[in-house]
Amino acid sequence: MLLEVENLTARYEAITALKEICFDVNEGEIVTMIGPNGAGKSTALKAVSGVLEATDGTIESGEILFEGESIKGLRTDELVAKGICLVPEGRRVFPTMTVLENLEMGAYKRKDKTAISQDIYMVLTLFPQLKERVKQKAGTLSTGEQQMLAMGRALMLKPKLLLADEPSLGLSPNFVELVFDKLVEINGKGTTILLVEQNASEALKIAHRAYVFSIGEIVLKDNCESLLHNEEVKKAFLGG
Amino acid sequence: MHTMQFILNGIIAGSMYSLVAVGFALIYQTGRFFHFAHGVVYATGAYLAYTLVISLDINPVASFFLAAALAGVVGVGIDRFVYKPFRKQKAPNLVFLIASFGIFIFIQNLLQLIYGAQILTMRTGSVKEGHHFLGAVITNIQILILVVSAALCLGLWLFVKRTKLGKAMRAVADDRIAASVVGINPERIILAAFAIGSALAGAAGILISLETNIKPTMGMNAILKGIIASIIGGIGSIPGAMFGGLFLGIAENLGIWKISAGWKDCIAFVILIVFLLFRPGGIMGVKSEGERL
Repeated sequence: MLLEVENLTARYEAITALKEICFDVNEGEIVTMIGPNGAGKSTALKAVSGVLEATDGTIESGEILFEGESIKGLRTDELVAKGICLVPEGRRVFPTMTVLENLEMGAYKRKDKTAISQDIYMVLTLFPQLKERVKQKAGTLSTGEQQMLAMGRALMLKPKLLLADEPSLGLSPNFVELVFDKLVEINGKGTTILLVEQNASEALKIAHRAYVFSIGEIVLKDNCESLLHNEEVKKAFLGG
Repeated sequence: MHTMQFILNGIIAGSMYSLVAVGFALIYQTGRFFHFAHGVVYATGAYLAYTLVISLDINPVASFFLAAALAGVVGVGIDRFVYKPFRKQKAPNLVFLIASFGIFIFIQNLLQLIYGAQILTMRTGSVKEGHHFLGAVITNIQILILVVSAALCLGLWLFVKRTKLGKAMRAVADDRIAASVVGINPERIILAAFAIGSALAGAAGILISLETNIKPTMGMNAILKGIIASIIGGIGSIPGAMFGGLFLGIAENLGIWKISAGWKDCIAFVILIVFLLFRPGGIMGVKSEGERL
């Protein structure tokens, strides 16, 4: 098992955001977390990536294991070194830096210069939309292009586990489709993906397994095939 | 024509404001708080140089680099022992500001305790006549100040633009969380910003002490002007801080010429208010987002 989360409880000051949740991700999978706004799925992802503690939340109890090793309490940059990389909610590209510089920053931890330029080429092949904009400031890109850049930046780290937080949020429909296609493509090349999504129907289509969140708890877990046909899920997330 | 002379004086004063302002901007960008005690690091630089050159009789060039480096160490110490614990506690910005005033007063009094409250000077020998240049007079020391401060500002700009550490600083400045997401430890970057910014403030303190007297309270004026330069340049922008400093220096000196010397500080603050009212983004037009301030 690549990632194992056991009895995780997390809070934002006085508000408990996650109550003893358990989930796991196997190597090679796409696992998705779906559920309504504020159900705690993003919080779970932030807890795994170390961003929660760097902002305004805390992990109260529970255990997080990556490749069998406890990673609870590690800083985000330390987790990056272990191969866990986050595509953050709201993309968070570096707005005043160029597209190329953003990709270079993605390789911050790496020292192999020739391999880095090869990977930049690889990312630009994967996202041809970025190719003609390499010299442009990332802040001037469209939301969809920024999402491509955020994903490309994360790939520069060659992650073992890619955490994607609401990658389709705020994108135009054709970019939404593109994002999901690219996730499948990235997964096909051997990167395990943990995906948090509000767009449940699309997420269930590409993922292998899913966890359904509701008010800080996991209420349902199954493979996506059966969830797509589950009456309750249909009613709650798939519009009947 | 006196115009050239006043402009030249303005450029010299402005280059000092610029040096203080770029360091302040670098620290503000990465740490996201007003490091008011930056001014007292500037004073510390001057006093360290005084000790090295006058008391220990060390070669002035070596003293310059040593004193600037020591000022950098002072800055790092301030961050490590005061600000960093507050960051760990996720303290609000007001706490940083108050702590910063506290450090300012503490070190200023420490300087007074060690060196006394009287004016000290590093100038030795008789005053030499300056060179005539476009109707203005400029001394060798002034040329040195201009060249060194321009080189330092340019060096910093290239460092931030080109080097890996410099780019990491811009990344932290853009978005601290995103920076950690790509594997940058923001704490180390903030520490580096303090080291570099404080060394530059120290260097400014040393350079100015070649031209004027040094006193323990010299940091207050420096940081006020540095902050004003930084704001009118575009808060957090490094080229903005450079231009802001020069603009402020020239405007003040033209004001001295046309109005009177007593109005110098008033002119600086009027410029600040005019900018805040009509161009809050400064010369470089930096957008101030809620999250950023």
